Amino acid sequence: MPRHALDTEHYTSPDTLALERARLFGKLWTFVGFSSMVRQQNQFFSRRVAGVPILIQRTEAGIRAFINECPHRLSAIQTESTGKRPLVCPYHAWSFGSEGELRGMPNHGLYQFSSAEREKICLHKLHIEEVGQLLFINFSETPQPLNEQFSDDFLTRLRDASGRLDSQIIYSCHRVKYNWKLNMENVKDYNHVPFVHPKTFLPAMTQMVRELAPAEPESPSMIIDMLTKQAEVPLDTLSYTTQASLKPYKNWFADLCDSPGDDHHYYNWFIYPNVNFCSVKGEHFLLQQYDPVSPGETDYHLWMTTARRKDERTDFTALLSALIRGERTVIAEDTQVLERMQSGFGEHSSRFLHGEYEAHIVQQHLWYRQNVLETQP
Amino acid sequence: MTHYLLVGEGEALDQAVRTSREMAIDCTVITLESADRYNFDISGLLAHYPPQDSRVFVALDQRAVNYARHKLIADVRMAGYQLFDLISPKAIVEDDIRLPGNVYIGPGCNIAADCKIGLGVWLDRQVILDRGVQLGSCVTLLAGVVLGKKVKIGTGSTLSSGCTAADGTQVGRHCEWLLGGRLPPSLPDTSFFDQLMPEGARVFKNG
Repeated sequence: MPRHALDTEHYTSPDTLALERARLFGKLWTFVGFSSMVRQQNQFFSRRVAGVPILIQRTEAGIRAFINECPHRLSAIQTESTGKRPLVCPYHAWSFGSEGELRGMPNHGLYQFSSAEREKICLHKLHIEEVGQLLFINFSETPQPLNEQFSDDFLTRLRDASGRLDSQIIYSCHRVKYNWKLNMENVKDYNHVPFVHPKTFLPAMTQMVRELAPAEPESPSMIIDMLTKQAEVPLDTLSYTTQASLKPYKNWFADLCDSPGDDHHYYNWFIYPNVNFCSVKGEHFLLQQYDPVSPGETDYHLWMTTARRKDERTDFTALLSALIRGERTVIAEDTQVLERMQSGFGEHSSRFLHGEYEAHIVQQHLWYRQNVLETQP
Repeated sequence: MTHYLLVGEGEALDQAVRTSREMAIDCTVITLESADRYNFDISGLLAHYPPQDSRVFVALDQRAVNYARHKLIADVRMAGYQLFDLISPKAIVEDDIRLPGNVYIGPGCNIAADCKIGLGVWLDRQVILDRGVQLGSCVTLLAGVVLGKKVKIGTGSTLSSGCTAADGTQVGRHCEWLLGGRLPPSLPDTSFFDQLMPEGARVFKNG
């Protein structure tokens, strides 16, 4: 009986990535950053989402998202990754208003656009939603409601958690040589922790792995059942929360921020398709995002922060630099494994063989087959 | 009689002791305790050495973008102590260089004219500063760093051994460049580079 739903070719194929760009990242709400990064008018950040350059900027109208491309010669409007400046193209100084409409065109006589043409000139605006401090964009002209992608309960949890984030954030982005899906599967696969992170992550946990209820010898397999029935997987089940117990300890900075104090848990909020948002004891938070660059390359975005500081004068620069080094050490351990896996994938590769604890991954693969590949296993 | 006191911990304190001996300064060494390597207890210092009779040099390792050294120097000054500098006799320092206190200049360093050195700066062995270099307070330059003309390094920043910076390079405040080699033309404030993060990480304050 099959115990897999996705073949390795979908981790190496440019055609599959093209489908993902159209049917996954082109349709779903995707995390892009934090609202605290655009607090002041004209503050912006720019980045790529599945290869598309985007720009998030606070305008007079609020937080807005655009394709980072001037309609004239397609030059980037904002050339830095963060900053504070109006929406003015640096190439020929076309300027744009709060909703992306054309405001100014120096030397306009040279262009000789008709009034009708000029009226239509604007930046390509994208839909944007705030969930607590998390910002999501959608490339679709008519996006599905956010609560079709995420359950109301999950959205409430995201709002609660992200509402506690501090505004001092450390960020890094590095490129890894594996398909983005491998990382999302890796973070949902808690059974790798004792073997890949025996010295870094495991010592903090109270038990090696979460346990499944013991099964009767002949009890039916949930995985095989799912694959056999080909049941439709609801999109909102792919994003969910988990928590694991940590050995009790106190961080020196706990009293300096609005942390719960006696909470000894590690929390995950898995945000489909490509985000792992976590918290250690409600004291510090990390958000990882795996953004596809090519079938075998991913931009690994990492943001880390603490719970909100009690006093804005407290400076956590040194703390954040230490926290991100710890996290990057763990990530480097995963990277070694995942890059090795990716480099081994080929026509010779056999099929994945998922166990019962990987039901979430198989579910994710089933949804992906039905909605991205539009095929059955 | 003036007491010269070396206070701090770790390798920095050991190195300060060696240099004070080379300078033939008779120093009392006080190792300070701290649970978090940030808040150091100076009550013993206050109890035994009256500020009016003492000069202090704070020697702390460079980690954590030098906030700990900055804070301890501030605590010591607030308590009324004057600071002194440690300049190796094997260093070359142009006559016009003003040292504002608690500056360490190790053996083999060569500091050209018109350089501005901040409070609490730590220059390890064989650091070379060309003309017009500006170092903010509590900058740490490890062994063999070479800075070209008019390079500016912001408060609290650390450059690792063997770094070179071309003329006019600008490094922001509280940065760490631990990759060696040639620095890029500029580094923004609170940015961090090391073997684990060669592409860098950066703190956004979003205030």
